[in-house]
Amino acid sequence: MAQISGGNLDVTVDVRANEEFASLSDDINSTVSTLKRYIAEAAARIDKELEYAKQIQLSALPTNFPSGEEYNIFAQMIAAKEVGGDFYDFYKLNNTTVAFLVADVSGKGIPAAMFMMTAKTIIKDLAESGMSVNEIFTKANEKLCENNESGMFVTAWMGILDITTGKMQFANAGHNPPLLKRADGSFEYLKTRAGFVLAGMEGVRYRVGELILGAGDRLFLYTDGVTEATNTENKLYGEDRLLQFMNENLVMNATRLLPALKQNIDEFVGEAPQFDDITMLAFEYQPKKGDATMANKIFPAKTESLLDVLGFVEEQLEKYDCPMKMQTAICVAIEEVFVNVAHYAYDGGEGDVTFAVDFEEETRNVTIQMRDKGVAFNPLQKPDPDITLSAEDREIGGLGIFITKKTMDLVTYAYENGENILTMRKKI
Amino acid sequence: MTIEIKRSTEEIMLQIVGRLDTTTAPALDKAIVENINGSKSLIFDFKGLEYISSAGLRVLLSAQKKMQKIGEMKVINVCEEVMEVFEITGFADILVIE
Repeated sequence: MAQISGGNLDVTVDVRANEEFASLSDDINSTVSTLKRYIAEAAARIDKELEYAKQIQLSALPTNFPSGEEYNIFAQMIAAKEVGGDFYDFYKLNNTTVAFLVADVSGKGIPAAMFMMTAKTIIKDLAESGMSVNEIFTKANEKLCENNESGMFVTAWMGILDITTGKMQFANAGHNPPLLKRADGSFEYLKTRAGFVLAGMEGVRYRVGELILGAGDRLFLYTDGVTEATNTENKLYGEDRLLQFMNENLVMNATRLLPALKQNIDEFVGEAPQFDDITMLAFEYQPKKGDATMANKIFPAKTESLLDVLGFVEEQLEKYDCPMKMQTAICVAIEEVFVNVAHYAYDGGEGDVTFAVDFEEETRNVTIQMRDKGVAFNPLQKPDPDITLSAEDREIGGLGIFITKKTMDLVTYAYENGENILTMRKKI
Repeated sequence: MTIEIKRSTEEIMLQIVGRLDTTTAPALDKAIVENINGSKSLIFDFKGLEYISSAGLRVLLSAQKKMQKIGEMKVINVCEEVMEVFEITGFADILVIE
């Protein structure tokens, strides 16, 4: 009996000496048998719940990997037996921007899976509203801290890439550093100072990191399920091994590389069970070279950059055999709108302007697009100055944009995803 | 942009070579303000001026308003591109162009 009350239910009681004892001993055995059944059912329910958690987690992860885009993404998440709340995500924010991230929720089981869904959704919503990546993390952190009684937190690394320029902004919330490989180099850890984890505490602000990617550059994002995979001797797979594996397999394309890495981890781990979710995301930038007439460049929104901007525009116009007189006129038109942005768009702070110049052979139309993420402002709203007034009565206000409107054939404005977009066209 | 200043008794001529844009216009403005005292005639020789934007126009307008009260101002040797800007903006009617 001491054994049974101690928890060993596989023991049976057999005291037949006395009739009463005999019946008691049968009752005990049947109670034990019932208990064992209840326990087995409960265990099966827990297993089922873990299954549900896994389903929740898997269903949330996008598998429609891009094809025919100017970048490649491939990702895999292999869950541990007890779901760990890892996730990855990627989506286009507009025609020219793509976002991608990996994240790791603390905790396990259904609570982790649910927190993962919440975090993933909050981040995506914020990203789609057009804010910068560090603002996304700052706001996501605030939202995740609300009602976070379970005290869970999530680490994350997110990149937002402008496909037309290769400029990528990224933020790190307590996550392990990704690997970066330039087209003609090998992988190296992109070690930047990580901010605090998300949902850890209120008031945390995140910094933005910036990189310009070139054609063929690759990023590899992962969670610590990779580097902290442990074998039976309690040794970790580690950052060095990961780096080595990645650099030994540079030719492999992502769809083969990720399973190969998982296999390498499995071989290292051996008999030991997988303790944590393993998540991997490979990103490669492949801008189309085909469109030789299109050119993009980013400039700081400062008047000091004027000559660089005009130099860039003139360089493109030269390629299209634009007559000198027209080049000058177009440059004046660009100066007017650029200076406006430099003075006002970022309210005295720092910011960039992106110029895109394109040319259509058949129509000989040059299209110049200027984009900035500053204060929403439509320069075309300004009323035209009265050019018939005499010198004493003339004002300078509104003259700049007027010159642009008169010089170019067509000028249009749009505000999309947090960007002012001014498009100008002229037949040369 | 370079500014060459030629003075005679009541006349001052500014020869501009280069571009008059938002980065160079302030220098022209300063040159005018510093040198204009006592002159009744201000002449801009734009033979070497290849580019002008609204920043340059602003400086010219300011000079024109001043000179109109005390004397005269004119602009000479204007190239096609600069003339185009004067036409579009109505400055061709405000400035005396020879």
